Amino acid sequence: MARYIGRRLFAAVPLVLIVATLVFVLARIVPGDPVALLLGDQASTEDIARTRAQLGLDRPLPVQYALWLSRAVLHLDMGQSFYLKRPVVQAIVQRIEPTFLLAALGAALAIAIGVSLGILAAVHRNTVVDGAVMLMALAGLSVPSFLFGLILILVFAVRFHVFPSSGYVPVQDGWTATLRYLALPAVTIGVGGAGIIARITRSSMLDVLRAPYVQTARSKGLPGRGVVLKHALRNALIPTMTVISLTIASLVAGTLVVETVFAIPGSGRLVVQSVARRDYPVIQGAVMFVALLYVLVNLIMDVLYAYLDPRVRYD
Amino acid sequence: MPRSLACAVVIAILTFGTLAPGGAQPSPQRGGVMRVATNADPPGLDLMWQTSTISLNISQHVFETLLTLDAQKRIAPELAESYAVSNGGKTFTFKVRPGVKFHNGAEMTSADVLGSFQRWLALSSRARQILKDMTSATAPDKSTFVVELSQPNGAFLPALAIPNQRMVVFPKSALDKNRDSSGKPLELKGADLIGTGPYRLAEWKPDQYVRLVRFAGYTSRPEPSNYMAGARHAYLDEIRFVPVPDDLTRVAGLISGEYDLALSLPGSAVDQLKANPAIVAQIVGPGSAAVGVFNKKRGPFVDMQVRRAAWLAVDPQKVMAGAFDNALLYRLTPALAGKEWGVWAFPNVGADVYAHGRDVAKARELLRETAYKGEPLRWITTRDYAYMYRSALVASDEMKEAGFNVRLVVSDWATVISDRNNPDRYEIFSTGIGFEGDPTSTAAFTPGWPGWYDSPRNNKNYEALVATVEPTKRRELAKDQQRLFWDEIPYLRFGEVLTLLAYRKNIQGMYPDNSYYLWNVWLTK
Repeated sequence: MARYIGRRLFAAVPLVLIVATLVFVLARIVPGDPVALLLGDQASTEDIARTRAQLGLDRPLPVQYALWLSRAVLHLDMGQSFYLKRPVVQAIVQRIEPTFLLAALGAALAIAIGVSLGILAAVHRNTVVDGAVMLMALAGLSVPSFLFGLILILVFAVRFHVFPSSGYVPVQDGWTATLRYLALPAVTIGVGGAGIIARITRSSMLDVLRAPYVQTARSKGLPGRGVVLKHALRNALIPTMTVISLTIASLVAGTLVVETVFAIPGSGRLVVQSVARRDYPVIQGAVMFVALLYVLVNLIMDVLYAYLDPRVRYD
Repeated sequence: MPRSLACAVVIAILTFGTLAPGGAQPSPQRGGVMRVATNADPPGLDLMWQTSTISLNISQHVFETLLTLDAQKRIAPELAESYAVSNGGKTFTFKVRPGVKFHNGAEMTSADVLGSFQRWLALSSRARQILKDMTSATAPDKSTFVVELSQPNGAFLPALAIPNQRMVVFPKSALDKNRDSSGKPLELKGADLIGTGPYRLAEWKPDQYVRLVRFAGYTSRPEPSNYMAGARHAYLDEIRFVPVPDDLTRVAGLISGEYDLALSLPGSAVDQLKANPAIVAQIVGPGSAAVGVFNKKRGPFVDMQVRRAAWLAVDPQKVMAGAFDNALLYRLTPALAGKEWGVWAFPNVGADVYAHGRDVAKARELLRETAYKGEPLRWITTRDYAYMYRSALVASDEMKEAGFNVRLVVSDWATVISDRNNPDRYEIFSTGIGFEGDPTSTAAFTPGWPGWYDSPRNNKNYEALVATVEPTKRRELAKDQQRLFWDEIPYLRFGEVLTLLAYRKNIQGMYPDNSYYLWNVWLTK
């Protein structure tokens, strides 16, 4: 298994490099001048030229690329943010905590709600419960997260003052405050993810519940709950795991929108704002980071498959 | 004037009539943290380096200038104890206010003023343009700063007092530390952002908050507070500017009480906020005017007659009504400076051209006499500022009826402000152009700004505005500038964009203006 993991990580290097190169090229093909944005409306062409030179943007593109890549690879230095005036790595690292917690809470909610509702629907197949659950799942999937987020803000922040409408408190300042600030955004992204997980859990549970070994377990007189949770669920979770891993990836992408709506200073918002600001070093650094994250999530999921299903072995 | 236009003007005037600060206020209290929701994180807090509005809103609490403006928009001393103009308008002598401390504890002297002035000249192209005739700038003693010019100059003092790219006084030690190898100034950051203002910068976490705290060593001017001038009292313990990028979340945060004040609110929230008993919502402004700037370097709009035809094709009332949901949020006027700018506001000059009544037939006729034969015209605009996109949408439709083949090119703001510097990329671009405090300070009237308004008549008038010291004569020249504008139509100027100022009722002492300064402001329990 260790060799397999090592091989997978090594294979990810060219992938990340390709992503990095693509991002470098794309960021610069897109029109828009970071310096004109930085200096404001009154800046003269002379002022803009001076700042461009200071940021190294006056050099030919291949030179900029070579410099950036050599610095990134040899010194693990992703450069300085034009806008935030601090190293890119520092800017990203500082933004990880809220995004990680938000995605983790969102994923936990999505899995808890999605898997339970999926089982409930499967067990009560073709009943009112099934219909209601699938309708909820469809609603969760269909309502855009920014709209759902705003509805939550209006109800729970503006109307009932239960949760704050925006902002973030770091964990070091108190867990409970952090959770209060993350509650509404986590529900926003969790509900969207729960919809798809519920649908997949339901269909894979239905397949498994019809399987001979489940029938056998039932005919041996095992209690219904035990059959569903102990025998059926474990096997039904294998296709669900694939969807969960994809959902987690899309949850991380979902934080982009949710962090903007709830003004959470996370890495999703950092990426959105850096694109609007044409802050090339941050865009490049953040996308490379996300690429690495995808590689890691996929790897973790593959390892989990092997754990859940002893027939899956990678050595 | 069409009836609808007249109605809108009356409504706007009535709205504005209610803006004067009302009645007696409770006496000020010290203490408390004011939480301000901003629409963006500042790109920097060094006000000489860059000019974004959000940087100004925050930094003006930290940094101060030699001169400032009072409620009548007259020049008033701030860090200068006094100033004198002699030698026929060629020598400017400033006495620096004694006992003023920087946030690092050092006392401000004329050496700091001179160092800041030199940096201002290096960084501000407008300053260089106005001061081309400068012969020397010196600090002969600890409290005196002198600028000598070879020609009289009427634009210098206003340039020191107006908000944009202002000549902030920094400690010379911080400036000396922040230079590149060739001696050119670098942007001030972190611990070097030292000013003399009533609040000092305590902490800046990008995209999280900027925290200002009361500066205990602040020495206020003795005169009564008068807009930006006079005494500045720091009643608040702390001001926290929190970037909340989503418009509706800012509104929600203000209503729920998480923020005491929210900046850049969407016009769609006017009625909701006005109806809320916990909130004061006022229309103030104008921040700027909604405009479509012609490319006057290349293409059909180099020809003044084509520009006039375009203006005849549009109805400013319809354009502004289309750009804003609420008639409270705009004002229709030919004036280049809003009436808040007192002596610089000329509400009638060019009124005949402004309120012309849309005349498509005449526009067609004018256009037929020109070399324009229906070539495609690109209007670059953005949805990042809804009013820009919506005004371009209405105006371009109207222009099409008169024979202009206009196509909107919609992109994000970053692309618009980069493309507008390239004369090959557009025929018209959307933006907002405001009056900056003096007729010489609007970049759009200089040949180097995008759109390239390089008219001999306007250039001559601009130079005269710089060279004239006598206030009445300058006023006449400003009037000429406005008349020339409506003669030459360098851009489509649809109307003024007003600002929605909204804050919770626990805030006292707010001045009804879009400048958002929070000294002299306090919180009640």
